Amino acid sequence: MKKCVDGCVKCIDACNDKHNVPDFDNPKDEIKWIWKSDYAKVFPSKNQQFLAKETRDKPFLSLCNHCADPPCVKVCPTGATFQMDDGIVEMDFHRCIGCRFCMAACPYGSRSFNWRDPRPAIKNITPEYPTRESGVVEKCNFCSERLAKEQQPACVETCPEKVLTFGNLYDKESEIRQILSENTTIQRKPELGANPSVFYIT
Amino acid sequence: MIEKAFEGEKGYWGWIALLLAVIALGIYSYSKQLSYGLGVTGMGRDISWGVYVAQFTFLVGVAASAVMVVLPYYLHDYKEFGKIVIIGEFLAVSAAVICLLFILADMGTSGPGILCPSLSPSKINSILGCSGTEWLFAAKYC
Repeated sequence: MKKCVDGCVKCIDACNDKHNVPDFDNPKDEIKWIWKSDYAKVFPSKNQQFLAKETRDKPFLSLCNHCADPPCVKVCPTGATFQMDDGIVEMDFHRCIGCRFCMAACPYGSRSFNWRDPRPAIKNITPEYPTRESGVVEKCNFCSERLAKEQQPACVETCPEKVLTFGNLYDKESEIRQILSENTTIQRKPELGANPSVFYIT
Repeated sequence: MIEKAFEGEKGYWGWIALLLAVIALGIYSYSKQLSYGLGVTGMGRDISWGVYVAQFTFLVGVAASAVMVVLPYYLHDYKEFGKIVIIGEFLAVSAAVICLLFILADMGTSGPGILCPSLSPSKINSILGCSGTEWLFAAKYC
């Protein structure tokens, strides 16, 4: 995160554009896939005294953690949110009945509900990804539709500073495992036991 | 028993008229919700469950306690309680029906698909699935 430039939102814009994320310009109805938030909000249990100013004031990227043991999947009554074989936690918008149990279960606030029809609030519709209807939950899907075409997630590809690295955590030879073995990293709320798959170098 | 509901004084019919007006307001508001989305309730990112769920949990308690009034009569053979048992069961059925209606109103999507998936045995570990099943059982037996 040291490389992440304050005020740069290229990854967020790329994600919102690729996934037809609406912009309501109002915090009540907001839909968020990837966004920046204060360190203290992203890591509430790691907000200790005398934290380096650089870390404390840094806006941290926040997104779905694609937990290895996802609480949202456990509570979903219809199986609309599920874990794929590659570990990514996906959403089937057609199966979602909008009960919002997953939002209550997610410890990271990574899930957004369509409180109103999102389609009029989408700036330019990208036909490669479906738009959603009012009344379903959505979240970051690690660009699984792009991974299927052997492309990197949109945020990773767009970042000019190469802040983000995406890879297979179960492949010992992968770049991501290399980085994890060479750096001290932190996870969000690891004490909850959901095993989040997003690691931060602070 | 039900025929007693169709006779009463002026005050009684006034009360029924008031209840019908509340029901009509509810149907009108629900139609608003169907066209705008659940955001019309004032719920949002920070408060994703509101009065619908609060009412559901409250009425679950009402239904359960209304069934419990049979206990002094049947288990302890306390005849005085016999008169209240029927009223209790009517209350239990109506509270269970309102519970299900609140759950239906709280769902983001509408249509018959809402209740069926919550009964699928593969997802019985979900708390919502369980409560849906439980309430159909409760409605059947009380």
